[in-house]
Amino acid sequence: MKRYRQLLIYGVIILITIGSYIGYTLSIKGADFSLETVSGKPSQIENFNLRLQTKGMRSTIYDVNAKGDIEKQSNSYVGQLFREDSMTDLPDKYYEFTTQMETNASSDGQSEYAIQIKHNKLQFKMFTFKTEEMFEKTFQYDTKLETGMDIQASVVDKQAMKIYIQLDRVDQPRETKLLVLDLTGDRVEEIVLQKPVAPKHARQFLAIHQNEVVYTEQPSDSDEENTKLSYFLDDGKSVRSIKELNQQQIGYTPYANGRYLIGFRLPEGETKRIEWSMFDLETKRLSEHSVSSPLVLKKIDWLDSKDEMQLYLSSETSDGFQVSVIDLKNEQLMYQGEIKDANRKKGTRIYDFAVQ
Amino acid sequence: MKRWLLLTNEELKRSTKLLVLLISGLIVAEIASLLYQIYDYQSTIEKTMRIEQISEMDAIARAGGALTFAQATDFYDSVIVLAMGMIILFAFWIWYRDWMGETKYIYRLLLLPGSRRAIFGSKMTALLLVVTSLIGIQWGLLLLSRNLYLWLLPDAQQVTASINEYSFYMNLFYTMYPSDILFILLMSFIVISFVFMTVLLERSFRKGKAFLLVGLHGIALIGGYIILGLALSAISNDLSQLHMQFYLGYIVLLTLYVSYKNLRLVQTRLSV
Amino acid sequence: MLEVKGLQKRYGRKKHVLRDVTFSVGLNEVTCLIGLNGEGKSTILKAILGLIPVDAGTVTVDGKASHDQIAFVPDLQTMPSYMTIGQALAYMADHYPDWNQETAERLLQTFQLFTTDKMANLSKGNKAKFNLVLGFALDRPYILLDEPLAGIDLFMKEQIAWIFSSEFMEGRSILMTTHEIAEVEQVIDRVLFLRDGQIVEVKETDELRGHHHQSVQDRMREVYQG
Repeated sequence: MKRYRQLLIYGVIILITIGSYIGYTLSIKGADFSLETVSGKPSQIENFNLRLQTKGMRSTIYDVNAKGDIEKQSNSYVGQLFREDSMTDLPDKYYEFTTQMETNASSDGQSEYAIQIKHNKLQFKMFTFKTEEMFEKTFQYDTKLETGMDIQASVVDKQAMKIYIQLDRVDQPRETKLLVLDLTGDRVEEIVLQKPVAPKHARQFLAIHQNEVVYTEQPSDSDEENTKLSYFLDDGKSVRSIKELNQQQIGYTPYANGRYLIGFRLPEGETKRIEWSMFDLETKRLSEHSVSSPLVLKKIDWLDSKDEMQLYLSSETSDGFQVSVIDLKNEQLMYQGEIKDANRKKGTRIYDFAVQ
Repeated sequence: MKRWLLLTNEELKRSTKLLVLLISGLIVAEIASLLYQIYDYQSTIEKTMRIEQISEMDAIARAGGALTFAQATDFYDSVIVLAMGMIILFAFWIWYRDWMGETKYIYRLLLLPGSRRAIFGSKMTALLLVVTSLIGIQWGLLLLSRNLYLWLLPDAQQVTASINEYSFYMNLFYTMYPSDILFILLMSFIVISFVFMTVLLERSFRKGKAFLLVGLHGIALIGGYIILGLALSAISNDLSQLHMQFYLGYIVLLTLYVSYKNLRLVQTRLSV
Repeated sequence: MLEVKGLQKRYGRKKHVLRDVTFSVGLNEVTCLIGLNGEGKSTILKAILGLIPVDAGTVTVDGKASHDQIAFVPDLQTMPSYMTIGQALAYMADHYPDWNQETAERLLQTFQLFTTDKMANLSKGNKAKFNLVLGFALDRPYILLDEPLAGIDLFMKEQIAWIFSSEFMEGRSILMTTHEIAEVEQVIDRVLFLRDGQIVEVKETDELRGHHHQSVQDRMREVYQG
């Protein structure tokens, strides 16, 4: 024994210290999640993925889907290294194009778009997630400007075979343009607007509906967080400010091919009601809507939507987390499910939420 | 087996003074830094209360909030980085000391009967044992620090909820997944293997050739990352997402090769 | 028989330290390797033991290419300084199956060394004597000694030189390098003269004294000074 004294000393130190570490880690209980339907039927909604992360020691990631399947992902080094992120399988041709420096990429939940304007040509590629199909076309577009250098192109909306693109000039916010690509033809047209961009303002195109264009303008050099947005409607002949929207303090997003502009009122604290304002571009009328929730909703931060006027919403509840699906057109709560942790671990938070 | 254990014991025995110094230095530095941070914070609060004539709560608010555990153990990261540096130096020293000084222990080692693999194995084992014990001791220190923090600071001045929030290196080492300790040891083995390779090449060949060989291995290490990235991107986008994973696999294979070469060097080329 | 054939060693491209060194050492012989400083005497011993790699050549003992019949007595300390003599002996006993503890203790007694003596505190002469203990206490027929008498005082030299005519020499062969020819001339059976990395002459000492009426030193002058 004397010959191995040093080895024994180190062995004892390691046994006691690392042993206590292992004992400690094993004593940490994980979460035990389960999904319970509170309202509606999971079969009627699209599949979603709610990713939760437990906090503190031995932080672990849990994936919950609409079927109630709970998948645990270890946060150990090996687990992190081989974690499967739900990454879309972008085709190589698309991926190569989209990662080039001169390409501008944007997406809208259904598809990914990549645009490159160079040498009087506009190269357009589109990848649709659901069908996993890629579409590409090159258009003639005479300009001395290039994406990646002087201009930034982003897709505002896709309606049938028309793509509406916002073209921003770097450092020149007053030069913002709206282009429309006809995917069946080979034309790039500029939609000329009735009003130039206000001095020291930046314009953002929001929705296009039957030749009417809705856009917002806000001071471009403001440091304030809540700068007031001004909404404008341009019908090709005249432009008017949309007072109804200007008066509100919420942001609007287009639905149903730009026909409706919907802004959600999500309170900071707790609520049992989900309220939204809807501006119908056909009637030009603003209406208020709401849906009540069986569960108390806290800290509503995660939203995703489908263009079929459905809002997917995830938040905390008094007992855990919830996912709700709201039919915005018919003002109905289609589905609500609650995720509870039988081990009641504190500090768990939502890591990610998306409709699949 | 017996030879390997005896030689490992001898390596540890020869390093006792150095290691006791390293470990006690680590302990003293960390506890002292914790005590200092706590003392410094408390005296700031007291001073603010006295000079500004405000309550403890106001003084705490003025100081930017209560002292979190991560703030109190802020210095630990530096100590750990220092310890890691010392381990690498030790990896060089565990070989070079056999040639240096009046005693040339390398003669004794190379004259021992049986395979010379045990010489290599004993030095690697000794280092890995030191690394493991340092990780364990640091864990013990962490627990002690948590208790000191809770005990020394009044409730209002501490953030009890922050007790499980550690600084960067603490988080790296104490992920609460025991398997990660093996991962850390694997990383240590890789680093130490390359250090050993450098020493053995220097001890086996002329300076010029040794430098060249070390350089080639360095290129293989770094170049591998670049070439692998390019190759994977060329094959498919999916594979290029797994660049890090493939590189880790490559490093493991490279280390196995380096280990094989190290053993060969010890067996055939190492010279007094 | 310890046979060395065709040993070659080069440092760099030009410096040939050993050029085709060939010789043999029979049982119960004391062979002395002689050469001027830097001729490669130590290099040959180290090469035989595998302490340095060679470019060419073989070393066999009774036809087998292994080192476990050869013991080495170097001219420097090889045991860690913190060890005591007793701990050093225990180390040898642990690692060598052919370690003879009894022989070691008898030698310690003869040399007046004690198991409690610390390696760090030994004088140069005692270090040299202890090296002899470490070499001779192995039950091996061939012992290589590298400058066993270098840098020590006269009385110590006599003590060390004594070993070559003692009972500890039974069944052993010695190959040594030394500059202290006078102290060991009487016990040497054969001399190998090394020059420019080659063995240029091999002479039995009996032949030198009887036939040529020369001492080894006389012969040395002839070989190296022409």
